[in-house]
Amino acid sequence: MKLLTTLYHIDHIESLCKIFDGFVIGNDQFGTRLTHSFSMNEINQAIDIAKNNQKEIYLQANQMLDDTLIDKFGLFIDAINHKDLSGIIVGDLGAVMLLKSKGLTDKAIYHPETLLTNSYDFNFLAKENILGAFVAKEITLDDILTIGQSKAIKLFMVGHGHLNMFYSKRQLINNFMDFAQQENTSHNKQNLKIIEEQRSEQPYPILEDNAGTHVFRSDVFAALHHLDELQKVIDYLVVDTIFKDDEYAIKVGSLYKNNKADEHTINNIKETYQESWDEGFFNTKTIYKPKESSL
Amino acid sequence: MIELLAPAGDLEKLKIALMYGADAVFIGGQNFSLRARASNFTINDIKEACAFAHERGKKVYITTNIIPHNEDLEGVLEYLKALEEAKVDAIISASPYIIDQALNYTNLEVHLSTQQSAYNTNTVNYWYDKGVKRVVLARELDKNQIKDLTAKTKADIEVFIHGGMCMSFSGRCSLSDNMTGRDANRGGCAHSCRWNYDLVEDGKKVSNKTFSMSSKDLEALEHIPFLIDANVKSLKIEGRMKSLHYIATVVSTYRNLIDTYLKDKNIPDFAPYYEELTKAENRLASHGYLEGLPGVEQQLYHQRSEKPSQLFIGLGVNYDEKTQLATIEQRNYFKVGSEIEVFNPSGTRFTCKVEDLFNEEHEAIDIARHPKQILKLHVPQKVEPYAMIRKIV
Repeated sequence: MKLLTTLYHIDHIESLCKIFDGFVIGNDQFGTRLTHSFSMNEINQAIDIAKNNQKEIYLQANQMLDDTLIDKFGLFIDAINHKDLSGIIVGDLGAVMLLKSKGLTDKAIYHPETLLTNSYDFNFLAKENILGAFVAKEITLDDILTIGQSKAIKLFMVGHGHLNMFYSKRQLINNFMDFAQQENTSHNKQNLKIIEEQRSEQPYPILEDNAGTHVFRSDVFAALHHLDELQKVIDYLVVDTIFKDDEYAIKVGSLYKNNKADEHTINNIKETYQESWDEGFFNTKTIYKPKESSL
Repeated sequence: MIELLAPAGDLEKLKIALMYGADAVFIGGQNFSLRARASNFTINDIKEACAFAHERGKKVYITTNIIPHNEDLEGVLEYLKALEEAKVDAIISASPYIIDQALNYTNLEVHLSTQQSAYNTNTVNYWYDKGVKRVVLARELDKNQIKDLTAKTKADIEVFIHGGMCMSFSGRCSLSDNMTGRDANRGGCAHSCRWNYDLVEDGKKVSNKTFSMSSKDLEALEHIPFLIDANVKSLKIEGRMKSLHYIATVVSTYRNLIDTYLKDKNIPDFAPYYEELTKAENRLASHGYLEGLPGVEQQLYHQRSEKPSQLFIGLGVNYDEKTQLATIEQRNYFKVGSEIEVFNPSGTRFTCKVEDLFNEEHEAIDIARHPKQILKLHVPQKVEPYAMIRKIV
């Protein structure tokens, strides 16, 4: 199992190379929920640094893309040094098809957030010869292990971080500021949360970027205690550092790299970053109660 | 020919939708369907629904649109074969597993659910090339994008025109899963996006107003001519949990609009159509994404919707032309002296005052207060079976 991380600054790649096998970076024309939007030059630079360090590098282009953006994404891919990219993470099936048209399906990693929840659906693009896919965040550990046993492509999962749970194309903070007759100074800021009256102990990070508005889980998802099982099936585990910094990647990444759930270090991280960890749906099934079938 | 597609939560609503002008209805079975709280159809119900629709040259589509977990895969093919045997016209699905089972092992027509958020030509054509005949587009496309996309695909295109709006890209939301444990992609959406929140920055409230992500409902009356001209195949009304009266009113309004436009190629005034919709619901509405990215005007910030201008009080059962005595089934309180409108499935309508009222024993009564009570009253014109009887308020 390889360990990847998102990134805030390419100057930190060298130091992160001691821990991580690769990096996930993006540009906000096509990527969303990014730690940082890297320019094309920075992306090419990052590709070179990673290559020189025998590390992998992935482009995060996970926006939903309309036809105009699909065309622009094609031009962007043509322009960057895609040959040395390890993979391209896309959230839209149309982007997979674009990569296919360019002969790049072997670099395509499909990440539709919520949709790949069973063994068949996880593999449905295998016949297109894509590199891999991200399993959904909303299923149990047992389901992930089952999917992993019959995977026909590389299995990616976000193993640590604030998981996204809502993606609207609307600029919802901007609309609200219009309603409140206030200037929107909160676009693309990573220090915003929403609090629901009945769940005041669970503030949810919210981010409005160029792709829309995103709401994240309150607790940080942490797969740390299950690495022994996960590494049997997971090919790439991603530490998503959104709302944190590159120092966070080093601290957390060390735990994952060493498969060491050291409580002192964990508590130190939680205290420093004022965060709680949980295991998402690993041990909790979502509720689904179909009526009795007439069959 | 353009299709008007309506929702139906049960057999009665299905019949109403078809009688009031829908060309097709979409309904949920008891398995593999979202809207778990809608009163979903058994296989026998589905057979009856298909027979009713087909006798009238209309269609029934079954939603099998959950995003299944491993444990949900068992029984899919058995269920799809039962749907095929029931002679459904298509299934609406999002999961590649369900889609492939249908395409590989049945002759069912498959429509791609909006849960897949098909948002560009590449995606639409991918599914079409697999054998999916129709694609329900993501709600996030504007009308010009819809027109452009329709021109670039052989797939039939279906577009939402009326009803509630998912705030997230459909299928990509797990607010409900995380906040309530209810699986939005398996029929349990708790509509957490419509709750009230405080927006805070570094722990401090950004505004003294309450933050909401909620949207006004979609109402596309004025865009129907454009969508027809854009070669959209099907215009979809949302709301499998809506009432009989809502379905009859919304369906007939769009039916009239579509027919008028197809005949005259012009809609000189949309006001009567808006007025008609307010008889069944008077919620704040917007064009959604059809005119571009929604701004503050399309959001719902605690504004109160007005009450409908008319109240559904009864359903027509039959009419004796000799005695001018109508039989109706009570649905809401009314009394002798109430001003009513009778709205027939054939489109005819009239208003009158309730001059008298009788129970099933033909005893005169003053007030209709019992739900589903069979009542008789004298009215000057024909009341058709399934007519909507409305009290003018």
